[in-house]
Amino acid sequence: MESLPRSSYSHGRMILFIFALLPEAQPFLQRLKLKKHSLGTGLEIYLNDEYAALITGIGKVPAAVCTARAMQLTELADVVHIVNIGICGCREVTAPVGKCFLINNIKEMATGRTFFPDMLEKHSFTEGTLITVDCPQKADSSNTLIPALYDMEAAGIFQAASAFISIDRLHFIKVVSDHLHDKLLCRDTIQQLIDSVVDEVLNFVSTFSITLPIDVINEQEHAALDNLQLALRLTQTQSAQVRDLAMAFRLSGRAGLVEKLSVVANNFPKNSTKASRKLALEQIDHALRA
Amino acid sequence: MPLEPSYSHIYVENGAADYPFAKSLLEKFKRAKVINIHDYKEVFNRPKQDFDLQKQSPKLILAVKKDKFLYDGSRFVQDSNNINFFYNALSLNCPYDCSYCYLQGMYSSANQVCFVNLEDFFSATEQAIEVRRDQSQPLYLCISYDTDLLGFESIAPYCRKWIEFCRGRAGELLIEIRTKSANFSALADLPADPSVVLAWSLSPQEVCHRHERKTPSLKSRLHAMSQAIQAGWQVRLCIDPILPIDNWDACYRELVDIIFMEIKPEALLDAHLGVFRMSTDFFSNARKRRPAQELFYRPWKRERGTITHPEAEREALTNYVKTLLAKRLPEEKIRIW
Repeated sequence: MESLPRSSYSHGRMILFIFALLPEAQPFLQRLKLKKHSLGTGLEIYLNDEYAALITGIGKVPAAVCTARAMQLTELADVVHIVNIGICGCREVTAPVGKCFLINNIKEMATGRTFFPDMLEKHSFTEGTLITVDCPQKADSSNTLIPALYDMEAAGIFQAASAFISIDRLHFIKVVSDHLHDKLLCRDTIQQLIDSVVDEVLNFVSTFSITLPIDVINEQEHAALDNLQLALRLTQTQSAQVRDLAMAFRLSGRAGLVEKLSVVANNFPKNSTKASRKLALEQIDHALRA
Repeated sequence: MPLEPSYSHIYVENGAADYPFAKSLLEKFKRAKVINIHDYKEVFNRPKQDFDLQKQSPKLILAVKKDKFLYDGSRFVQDSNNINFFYNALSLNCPYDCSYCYLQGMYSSANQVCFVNLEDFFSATEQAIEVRRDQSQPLYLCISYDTDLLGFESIAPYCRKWIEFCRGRAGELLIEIRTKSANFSALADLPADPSVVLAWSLSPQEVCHRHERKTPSLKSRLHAMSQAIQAGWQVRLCIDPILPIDNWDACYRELVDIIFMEIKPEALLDAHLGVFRMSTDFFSNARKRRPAQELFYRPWKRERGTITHPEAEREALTNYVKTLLAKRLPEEKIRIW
């Protein structure tokens, strides 16, 4: 185990895989060469520059808690997609063991609530309904079972993760491991089941958009705006006006924002007055609308 | 990022699938994945939806409207002083994607909700006709107010159903179907009805291109409008909103010239003009949801709960276009917001 030096924090966008069990994660950890890092008690996180993997333990509450804790870490501040992958039970024997599903709705058995990941990305999976239960289901134990897939974490992960990122960036992929019998699955079986879908999942993940929608103003331009705000001692309202002008300027496809802001900032004395700020704002308005 | 095609998924509210209108819709999308839901709001009103991305791959939600089949006329339209004025919401959201549209601030989702219990809307309208405040005037009902029904007619034939409902109700009901669609052909087999006004929103091609994504070109809309006039329909011209784009005066002068090269002034029922206006709440939501819309960063004015142009700019825009129209139409036929 190694602790993460700050210099190696990711600066790009990141995809976070969430698993309940280590054998579910193992094929991805190996394939993506993710390394374990110590980021807090009880948080098992594996990282490289593009991907992170989190192992939550079994059950929707631990899954929600771990997801929420992980999403607050600065190391995961760049996460733009979350993919929960794991095994599931299936009542329908027509869905063979090993079949992989992309989930389009998750019912939480305990509360009756349903959660809907947005199905926007094109994919090649079969879609299915997933029911998150609090204890393993058996085919003969309940007459309330409906034809669906059963897991124990997804509803918790959805609720926790959707507090941090938009629901089109949450994806749930489940692999049928059994038809609701009560036999325990061994570690190797679980690993093999997940291993058989790694390629398909990584293919799917490779199509994700990893940009965020609000990248209109770049870092340099943000810095120039901050500088102008400080130099002219702009009020919050004036600062918001300048940022609106800057957004309109950039959205119209024009370049040279930093230069235009710098000219105004340099033209005015450090001890600005109300009148000089007003004049500066007029100049900015003129410069950015021209 | 490759996205699923529009309407790849259809969410069907409990009970909605039994309605004939829903059945015909589902029949058109045999390859769509159907997901059963309890209430349309559990999908439509979800928090944390990406409106922008959903607009690129919208889903269909079939639902049963339980109440509020008619709403009192809005203060944001030209007919707001008509005491018989109502509008309804047969469908939530619009197949088009205009950058000035208030829907992007009104709804958290870009998915299209279609209410399938048309009979309930018809019953409510019949009752409203009976009790309308000014019995000397027809009940005036905008059915394509929060949407563009003609643009969606090939998928959900609401216009056809309402035009059929209007038959024989001249004098007691007048419906307006406002549209940017070029899809008049979807109604071309129906005889013109005096209870129906087809209202086309036209904009300079530059505005169509930059601010009215997914809409037909000016030329196509104008052609559809002309076809409707030739078929005997009452047609309203709407230039709303007039946007202050670069060289706006020349653009709108050209627009008016193009319109009247295609259409005889006397063939128009009337003309509605308006400028950009949006409630402050919707504007604030819209800007958060779609921060890359250039239009949201203009120096708007906040005025009695509305975001609009400063008065001088507003007057310059409307007066200019009004003057252009007044050369072809009597002034009493020109209505302004």
